[in-house]
Amino acid sequence: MTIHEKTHRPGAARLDSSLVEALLAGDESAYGTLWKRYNRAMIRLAMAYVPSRAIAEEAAQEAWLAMVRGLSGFKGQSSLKTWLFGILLNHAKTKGRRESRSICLSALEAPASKTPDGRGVDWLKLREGASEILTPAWGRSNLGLSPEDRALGSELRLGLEQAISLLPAAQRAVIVLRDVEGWTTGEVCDLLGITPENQRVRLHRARLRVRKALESYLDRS
Amino acid sequence: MIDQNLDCTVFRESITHLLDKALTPAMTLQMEKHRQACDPCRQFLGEIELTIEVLGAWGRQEPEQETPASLQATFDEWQVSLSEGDRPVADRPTALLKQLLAISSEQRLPEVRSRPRYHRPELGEMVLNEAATMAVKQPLEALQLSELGVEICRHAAESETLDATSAHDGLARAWAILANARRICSDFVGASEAFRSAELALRLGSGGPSSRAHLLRLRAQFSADCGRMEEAIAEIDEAYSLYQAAGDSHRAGRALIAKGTLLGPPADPAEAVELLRAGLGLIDEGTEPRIAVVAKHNLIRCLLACGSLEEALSMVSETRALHVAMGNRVDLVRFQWLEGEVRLEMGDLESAERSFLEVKTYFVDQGIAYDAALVSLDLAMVYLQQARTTELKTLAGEMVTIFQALGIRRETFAALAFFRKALDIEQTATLGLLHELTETLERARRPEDFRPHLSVMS
Repeated sequence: MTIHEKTHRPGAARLDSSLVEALLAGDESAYGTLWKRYNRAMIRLAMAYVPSRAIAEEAAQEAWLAMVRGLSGFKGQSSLKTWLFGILLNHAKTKGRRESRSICLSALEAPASKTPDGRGVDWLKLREGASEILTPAWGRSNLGLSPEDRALGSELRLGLEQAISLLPAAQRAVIVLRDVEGWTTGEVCDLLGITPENQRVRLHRARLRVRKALESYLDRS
Repeated sequence: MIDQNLDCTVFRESITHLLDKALTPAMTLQMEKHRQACDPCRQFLGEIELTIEVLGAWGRQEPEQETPASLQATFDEWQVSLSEGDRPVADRPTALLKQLLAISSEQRLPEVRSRPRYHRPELGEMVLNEAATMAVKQPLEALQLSELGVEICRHAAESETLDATSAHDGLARAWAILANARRICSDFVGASEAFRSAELALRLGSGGPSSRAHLLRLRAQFSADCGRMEEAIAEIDEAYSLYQAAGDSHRAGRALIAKGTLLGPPADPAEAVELLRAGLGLIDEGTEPRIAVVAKHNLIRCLLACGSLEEALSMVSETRALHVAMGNRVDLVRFQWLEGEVRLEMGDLESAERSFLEVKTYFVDQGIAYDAALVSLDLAMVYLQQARTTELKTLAGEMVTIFQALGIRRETFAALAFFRKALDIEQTATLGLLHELTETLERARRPEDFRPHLSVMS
């Protein structure tokens, strides 16, 4: 059995540390590096708390600005990543509360997870779809795959996005950080202020729902 | 056969714990046994693993994005808003200068235009100092840096952190340095425009004596290059008076040396000798060693023109040693030009040709077109004396091309064209004709650019 467990990238802490030094020294390229490394994850995490990607992007941008302005006061007591994502969480939650009076667009759509699935699931097909997402496009095209195969990859991505968008915020934050971004249990617990047990329960619920949504997606396709 | 100690629900609910290695050894063992025995649960575990794998791949697949301009601008604004003490080390002028010099010259102007962090008067000052230092050694690089310095000062002037008077004082200096850099690179039209901008900025600024004297001494050299000798002398005299009034004897001495250089051969070499000697007496050689070398170098020229060949020769070895110690490539080239002329006067045509050819090659490589054309005239003297008509015709053709590209005044060009035609039609040319041509060119431009002199204004 291959037990899949993502771990935090080796050397990431060391890289963080050198980035902090560069930032404190005013090295402009360090901002770019940091932004490229974390911005996508920040938007994904923010989306757990706000109703749209546009608002999530706003929250991420506000977090970056807050980080820049607070940089001279950063004491290095936590990792840069935890500090930055902590800022993001505050901004995203605040925005989420503010936006809660509006109707979330996704709430108006039929959740994929509610699609009936009376038939057996073709996980082999999912594997094929996954291979599209897991394999660089050039590699697939070199193999002479049809455009339909590539479209399946795009559909799968959309299916994943929708499945994650329908998760409750608490589950969504955990699955994004753990499975999408590859954070460790410890990092997620530190950021969200939850116990490892609580984190696993949320993660498990989220994984089951995403798996179910993928089933539904494959059924429809 | 399914392990009855663990039902499928428990197995499926414990999968995340299993993958996190958060189960007890005993429970892990039961899970493994169940997995081996139960096909649907084994498949379910595989599906969860695949789900995780797909999620991770999806995370990695999203395309890279560039940092948005708005965010980058905020970083810049934040950095600019800091006081110098709070400013990160890498955002201080010295570090910014280093960063700018590290990127290619083509990228520097766009970088400066788009980034507020560079819009600082101290940085402009440093870039211009760098340009002024390089003006003689690397004229093209100095020209690019001068343009960069002007751009930085222009943006700094538009920022709210600088008062208008200081901004214009900075701009006046920047434009004057750019004008001088353009002059050195033979861009007379561009130099003229830059001097006009410098004058305008000076009027809008404090117009202080120091700023005005700086502009005057640079413009004097330009006026001389344009053949406006009286204007040049008036400008340098005014600069001298301003320095004298301020009690700045070093710069006053510098002005005398500059004037002596302007009055060098063929204008008034005897007067020039006196001015250069007086200037050497006023300057502080320790403050600006190059000025002393320049004065001695030009004194040799003037002595040569006055017929004091022996005295000139007596200074040659000392001055060459000073040049070598200074390590300035352009100065050394000009000294080589001067030595070539000395050899020519002494009748050592072979050595003279070698010197002139090397000097010409250097100016062509550096894009200093006018001087390349001018040293060609000295080379022509050698060829004429040796009756080397073929080389002479080739050389005349080159000179015509260069002068045409420079857009010099019509009568000067006509004289050169006549010389070339004489070579073509009559297959001959005389030293008298070449001297006549040289005199015509000298009327068009100060002799300093016709001979291996050194300028104190670069």
